[in-house]
Amino acid sequence: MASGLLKAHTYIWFVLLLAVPTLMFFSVRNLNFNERNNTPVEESEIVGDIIAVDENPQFRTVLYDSPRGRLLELVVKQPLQSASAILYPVVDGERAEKSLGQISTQGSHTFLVEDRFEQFQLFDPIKNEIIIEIEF
Amino acid sequence: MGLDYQWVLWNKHKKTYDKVIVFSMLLYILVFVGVTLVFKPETSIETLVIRAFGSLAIIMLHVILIIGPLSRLDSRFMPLLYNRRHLGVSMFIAAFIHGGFSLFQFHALGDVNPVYSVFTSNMDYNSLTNFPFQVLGFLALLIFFAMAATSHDFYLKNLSTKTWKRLHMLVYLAYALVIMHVFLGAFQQDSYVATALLLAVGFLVVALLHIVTGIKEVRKTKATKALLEDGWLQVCQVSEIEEDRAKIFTVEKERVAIFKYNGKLSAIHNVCKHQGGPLGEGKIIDGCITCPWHGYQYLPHNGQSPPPFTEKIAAYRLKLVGSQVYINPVALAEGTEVTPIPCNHE
Amino acid sequence: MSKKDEFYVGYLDEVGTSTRKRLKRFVVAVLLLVLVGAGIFAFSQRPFKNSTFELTQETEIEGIYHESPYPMLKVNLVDKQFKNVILLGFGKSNADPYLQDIKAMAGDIMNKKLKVKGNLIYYNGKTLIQILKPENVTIVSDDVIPLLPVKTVGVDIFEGEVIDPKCYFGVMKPGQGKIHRSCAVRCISGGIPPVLATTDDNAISEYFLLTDLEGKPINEAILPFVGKNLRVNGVVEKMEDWYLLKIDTKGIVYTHKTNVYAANNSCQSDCASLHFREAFARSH
Repeated sequence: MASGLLKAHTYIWFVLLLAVPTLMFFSVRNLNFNERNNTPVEESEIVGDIIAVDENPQFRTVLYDSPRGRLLELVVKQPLQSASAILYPVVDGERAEKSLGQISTQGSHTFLVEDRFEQFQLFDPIKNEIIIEIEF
Repeated sequence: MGLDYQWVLWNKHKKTYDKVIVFSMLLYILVFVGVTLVFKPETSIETLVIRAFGSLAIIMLHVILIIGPLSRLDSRFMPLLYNRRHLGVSMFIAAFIHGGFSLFQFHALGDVNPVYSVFTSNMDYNSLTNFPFQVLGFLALLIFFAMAATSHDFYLKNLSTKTWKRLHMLVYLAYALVIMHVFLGAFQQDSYVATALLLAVGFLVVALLHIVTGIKEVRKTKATKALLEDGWLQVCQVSEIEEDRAKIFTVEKERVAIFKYNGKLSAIHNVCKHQGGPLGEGKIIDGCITCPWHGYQYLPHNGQSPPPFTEKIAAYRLKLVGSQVYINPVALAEGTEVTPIPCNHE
Repeated sequence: MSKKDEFYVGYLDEVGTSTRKRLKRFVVAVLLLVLVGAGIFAFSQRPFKNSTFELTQETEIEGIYHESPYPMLKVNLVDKQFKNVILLGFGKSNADPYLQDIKAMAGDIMNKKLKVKGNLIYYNGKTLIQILKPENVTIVSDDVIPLLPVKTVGVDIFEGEVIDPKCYFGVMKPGQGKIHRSCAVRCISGGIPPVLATTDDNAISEYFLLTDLEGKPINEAILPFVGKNLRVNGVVEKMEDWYLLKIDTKGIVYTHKTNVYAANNSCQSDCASLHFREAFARSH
């Protein structure tokens, strides 16, 4: 190896050995290497007699009777993957005229429902698609 | 050897080398894409391409960087050195795909020129963890481009060997830039011990190999300093030189190689005209000094490449006193005819 | 040929046995490195959000145009349940260039009913639409429909990251963090509304459209803060399904959380955004 090349390499590696590990250390020093637990804590506010429960990876639906009346709790576990979401009761296999409400955030949503409602549907009016049928 | 410039002078070894390169790159991309699609299926195509080719380029860079020291430590690794430039250009291609997609993804279709955006979208130059890491990647890519573009022998001839080598030594700067590009970029967000460790270990391996090689080289230099006597330097015993091989000595700050062949001795300047390879580590093949790096040849009695090639190196005068070899440290003009001195076969 | 005597010349075909063996081992080692490296790098990626960008599909929506202060369409989904859809343009641009034609033609389009055709972007209850051609925006009726005033909720402090909603809610993965910062800067600089994305102890996210204290767009002033972890205080307002946060950028503080994915949220018992949710729930 030519002497000039050996000298050049020596200087370069001297600098690299000082600079690179130092910079590496200071860049990661404050980082958090733990995997964040992304599953949300499911909020549940049920006070009453549970009639039926339906569970899947995306939603948990609980129909129950409370002092206020019959309630439907819809827990959105994973972020919604729809352009919009409206909750409807299903009567005789069809979506009812009047909707129960709009769902957009994760977490618990509770609605007062008539006693006759046993099936429900989450519907996306923007894309005109059924998101999920909730049958207990 | 540079007579008429072709893109690549193909031979069986280069073909094998390149086949291994292409196969390895394809394998990497396939495994990366496969694992991502299985475990992180919600990815997007752009993110997949950017990360696959970026991580591939880094691994390739590490392989490239260990070839140099490995070849110095064990001559059996020389074939890797022979076609290293193809590996370098391939690495540049992977890095270019990564950089190009990233440039488009993160900086294009906006309100300013994408390259301008690279340097100005994040102005936290005075912070470490907030540093605009993409600038580091961009600069590294520029260096790799310059190296890939000049990796052909054409540039070796037309830039001086010194300039060419200086340009290619920038690989170390590019290496540091790439490491920091990852540590200040991807690692700030996707922080995993495994990947940080992988890169840290990679750097350690490259560094250790260079340090060990450096120490060996320094020892070799020290051991071959010659002693002056009457204008002639005493170098060694004839028996110390192997048949058809040479021994290297430092003479007036230059390295000289003394070859023994067919009962004769010749001395030439150690540095090959092609890429500065150590001729003294070469061998006499078909009566020619053959450079261990790429097989360039020179006739031992005049330092000229055999026709039709035109390279010339400097020769030195030798004298034998008993079995002691002496060299005249004054180098003769390149291509000067020097009668080889006869020596007794041992 | 002894190992020492082996000499490799690239353009000659023979390779010594010892050299050949060593090379084979090296290649095997490299291939192993390739497999392990690919596995580690690929596996070590944070999970991606299931956000959606309907790149190849166009949907038509109808609603009342308003700027509060960013161009939006208030869509009546059903039974007076509204969704405010943010209007966007192509690439890293807002919708303004695509609304020029209709503004020129109809004069003022504020609070008028428009029909917009474009590519939907949606995630976690927020919806946006990308308009690709000016002719995809048409007026349905010239009637001016006054909108309900925005409700003021209160003043509070939040911790989160300023993101651009186009990338975050659909187009990019990841659409946040340092990696994405330059893109977010370009988008917000191109007029796309800046949004503060916060995550509380229960991993539930809330989003706030950012404006200055007067409720005007804040695209330029917010640029240095984009893509970083911040603590922001401001006046919270509610506009149906979107919160607005009126802020003074001088009051923004950088938090010490090094990334949005802090394993143990450093919020204490009076954690800001949780506090806010409780306060808001109480006020209704």
